[in-house]
Amino acid sequence: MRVLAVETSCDETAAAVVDDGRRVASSVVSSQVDLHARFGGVVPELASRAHVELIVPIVTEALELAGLDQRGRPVLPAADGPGAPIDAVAATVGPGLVGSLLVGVSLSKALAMAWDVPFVGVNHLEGHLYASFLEEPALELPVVVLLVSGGHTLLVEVTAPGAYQVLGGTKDDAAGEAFDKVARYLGLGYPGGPAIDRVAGDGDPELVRFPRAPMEGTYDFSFSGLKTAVVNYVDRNPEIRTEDVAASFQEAVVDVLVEKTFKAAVSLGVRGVCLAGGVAANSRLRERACAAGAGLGLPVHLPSRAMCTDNAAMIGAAGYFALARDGASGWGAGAEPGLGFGA
Amino acid sequence: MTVLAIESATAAAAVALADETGALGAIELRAGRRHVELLHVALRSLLDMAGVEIGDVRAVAVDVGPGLFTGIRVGVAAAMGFAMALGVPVLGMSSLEILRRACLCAGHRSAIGVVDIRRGDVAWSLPSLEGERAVDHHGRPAELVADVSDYLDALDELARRDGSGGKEVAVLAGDGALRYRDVLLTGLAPRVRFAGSELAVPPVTSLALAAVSELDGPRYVAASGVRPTYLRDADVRISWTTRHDAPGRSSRTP
Ligand SMILES: [Zn+2]
Repeated sequence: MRVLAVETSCDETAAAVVDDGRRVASSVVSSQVDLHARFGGVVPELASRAHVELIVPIVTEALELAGLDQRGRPVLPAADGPGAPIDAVAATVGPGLVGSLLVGVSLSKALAMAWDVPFVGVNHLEGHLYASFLEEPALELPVVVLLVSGGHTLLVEVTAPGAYQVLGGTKDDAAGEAFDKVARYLGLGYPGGPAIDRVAGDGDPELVRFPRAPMEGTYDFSFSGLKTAVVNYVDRNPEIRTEDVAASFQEAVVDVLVEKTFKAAVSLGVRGVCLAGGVAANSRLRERACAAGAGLGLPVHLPSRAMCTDNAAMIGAAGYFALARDGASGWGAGAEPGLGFGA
Repeated sequence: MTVLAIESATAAAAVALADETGALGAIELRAGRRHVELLHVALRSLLDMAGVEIGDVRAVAVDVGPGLFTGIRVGVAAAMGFAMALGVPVLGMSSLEILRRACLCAGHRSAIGVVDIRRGDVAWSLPSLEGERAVDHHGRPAELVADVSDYLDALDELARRDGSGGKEVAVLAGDGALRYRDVLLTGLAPRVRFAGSELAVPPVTSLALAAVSELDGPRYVAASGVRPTYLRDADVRISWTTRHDAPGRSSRTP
């Protein structure tokens, strides 16, 4: 089954064609990061406007790369594989920015209706869980997935495609948000994750021991106190090198993420650990997760950077399994900006 | 040649089908902020009831605003999707033009579409003195009063010159006219009339019929060519609040 997927939940306009929830026939992402960079964060109205301008060219490109024309018809006749027509259309319905979500949902429902195929609304967070699957189809379940990005920090156990339970999440700021805010405070620009990753390489991660919120007895996280601690420390020690603050801050975040993730993996007896979300591209987090996995003899699955950040291929995979599990969404599907993540 | 018309730039979510023989049917719903939930359901029902296959649609028309930003984007995105998937062209028409056309059909020569664009502003479309074309403006209701007043004075002057002498009356249509009715009446009575609540939103059937009359015309564009009319720059406000509620209110990948 061939799924066309559309993702417009935040500031990436993305489309992909995914076969049987496992093979990526095409995946196209247009990031608006330059558009928002000068404001130091995503400006919702600008994002919505950009999605409207980008969506048709992006979807067209994804179709073409999968051997289809703009109308979804095979360019070359083929029964299966490249050139096979679209069997379903999936789109992110939430969580995200409502004005951005609406663009993808409205366009996708129209495509599905015009092609007379089912439409399936996808939870963006569920999409992230499929990142490792798409790159390693032979990956063995169950796994614990650490989903970390600017909007989310979640620890999830995945037992089968489409079957998962949330173990814990952040009680305040998302990990990526802490990166953004600290980067902003240090004058490192936006987006904060890559900026801190870059300068932290030249800093001493042990120089300052910033607090690690233990959230004892849970798999939950808290990062707002850490951000405050960084600000207070720099205020009191203005001579400290930015590189050292960045490295020490990053180490504090990575410490708690790695510790909780592997604690969960060990206690649940899963067969591996996956990282997902934009913060999973952080080089220190990847390094420390690999080391922890090696120490415990647990396989660690690290998606490529393109698969960590928002993309539509993961939505296509999630859409394929959601369609099999729950059936098509009705034509009345809407945007759900505050959509949560249940078991 | 069946045309699909989509109206969701204002308080309504509405769809209509029409061909050279006239309107085939329409569904118009008060949408509030539920345009995306209602629009496609309405179209699916309309197609079924009218006995039209979606594949028979040869052109798409959509209200591109001015109006509600999110509503406009829902309509434009849907129009883009249908046009793209069906391989047909799109006609984007202004909400003001649709209102004006509907008034003209009702026999009102000096018809002025007035749309509420929020924050105390309205957008309006003033017919030129020569007739056909109209010029779009936006601003405070008081500016609309001044604009209409000047326009009516100019019309009266023309009438005096050619000896017909009649006092011209303008007909105001649209949600902006209804919302600011008192201000407009104070400034313009007795020289204006109101089209009434049946023209509070741009009638989707008028859009469909206009689109049929323009089939193969130069205003049709490819799916990627249609654009919303915003009339004001984007609010530059970072959505920390939407992004912050944990877990996962929205996605922002660094
Ligand atoms: Zn994301």
